[in-house]
Amino acid sequence: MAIELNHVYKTYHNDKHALKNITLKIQAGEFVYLTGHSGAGKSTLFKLLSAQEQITSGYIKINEYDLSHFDIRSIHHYRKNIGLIFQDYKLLKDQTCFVNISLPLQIQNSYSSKEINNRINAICEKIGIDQAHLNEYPESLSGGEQQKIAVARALIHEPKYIFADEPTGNLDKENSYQLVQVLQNLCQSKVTVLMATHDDTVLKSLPSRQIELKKGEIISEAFK
Amino acid sequence: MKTAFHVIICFLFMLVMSLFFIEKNFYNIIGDQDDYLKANVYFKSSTLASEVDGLQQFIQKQDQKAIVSFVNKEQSVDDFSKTFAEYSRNLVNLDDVKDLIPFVLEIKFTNEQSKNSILEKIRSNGLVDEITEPVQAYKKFYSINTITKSMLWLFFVISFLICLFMTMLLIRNVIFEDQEKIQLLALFGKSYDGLVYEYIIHFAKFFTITVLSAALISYGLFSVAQIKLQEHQEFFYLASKVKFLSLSELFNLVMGFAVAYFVALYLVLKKSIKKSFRNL
Repeated sequence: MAIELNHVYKTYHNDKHALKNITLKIQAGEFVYLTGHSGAGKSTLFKLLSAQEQITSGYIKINEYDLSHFDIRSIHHYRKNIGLIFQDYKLLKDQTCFVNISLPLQIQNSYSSKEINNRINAICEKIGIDQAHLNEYPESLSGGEQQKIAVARALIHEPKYIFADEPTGNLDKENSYQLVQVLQNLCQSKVTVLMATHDDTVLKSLPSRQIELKKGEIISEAFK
Repeated sequence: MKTAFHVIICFLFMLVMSLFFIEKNFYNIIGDQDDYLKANVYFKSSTLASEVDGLQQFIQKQDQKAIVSFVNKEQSVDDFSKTFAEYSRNLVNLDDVKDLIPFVLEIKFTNEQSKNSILEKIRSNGLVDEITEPVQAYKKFYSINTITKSMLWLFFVISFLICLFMTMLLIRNVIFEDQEKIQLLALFGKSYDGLVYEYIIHFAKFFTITVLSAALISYGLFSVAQIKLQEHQEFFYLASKVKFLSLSELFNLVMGFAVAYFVALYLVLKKSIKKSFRNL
């Protein structure tokens, strides 16, 4: 099992349950949509899966990593295996797109500049990023282009798990379709993808397993 | 922000150095009030250097901790020339005048008892022409002197701590400004220890550049001020008396600050980066 959540609760200081009794199993190489309205708990679930927050009770296991209780000194070993796509892109404004995309590779510190260049060229072609944008700063690009840069950054280090929070939010239909296809194709090489989305067009045109959250609870789970 | 950071810390370190400089030169200018334990013994002009040496050994036997230094005629002429500058030039050129300058023993006693007993024995020596010792009034200023010394050290320590505190505040601010970047690096697998190490290297470079700049600027300002003062006859003596920090003093000051800086830096970085990691 790639991802396993068992009776997971997340409660904040105001005693409000952000997540209630979440039990979920995702196989390696599976593509899963996470749906639900705002405040349903999708972002909280992403925060728990990316070890940004600790759970209140239950347990989360992602392969050999136990995220129920983690230590900030050793969590980087796990985080090197994940690729994160954020709704608000989280790009470094004072760095070029090239630096932003290569960030995970530079952190791992085991790639030559030639390898970094090759990987960046390949990922730009795959996602449809204009090479001319690489030397520009993110703020000079449109929302959709910035989102593509953020996606490229999440995939560049070939992670085993991808957690994408509304990655198609700023893309047009064609680009959204292309991006989800790229993510679904990754599953063939055993990459597990969990993607939060509201986009009905994507959900209908590229069907996959869907988990729907409401007020912190799973209310439906189906292959649509 | 980072340039402002450099300028502020550079200025603060210059302030610390200035206080150290004032503390050092305070006694060069006004004289050390501990001088009341000193005495100068002037010998008759017919006295030979070997006879002075004999008396020097005699004093040393009486009080082994006393500091006895022998001032020969050349040194005396030199001191005389420096003190009186142009006025002395014509005088010391006369050999007759030179011959009149006596040998001198400068003695610094360990305590008043030792001073009184040794001076009593020397006075009866036939080679001795005159003994000068600071007036008793000096003694009265002893407590004021101690307070002045303590105050100067206190100011120095306070400014040192303020400088350190301000540096740490600015470092915290830099970390706070970089919080978004730190959090992103953490999410993509940068280790906590790796980040602390990277920032230590960054701030070590910053420290070296800032402290070197502060030392060079201070030395430059001091040199310019000294040259300007020496151009005026009335300040010539003062300018020649004032000394910049020696290399060993500068080294000790920088090392003291470096030790305090790196300990505080490590603690501040650990705390601030941990906070950034927890607020992802």
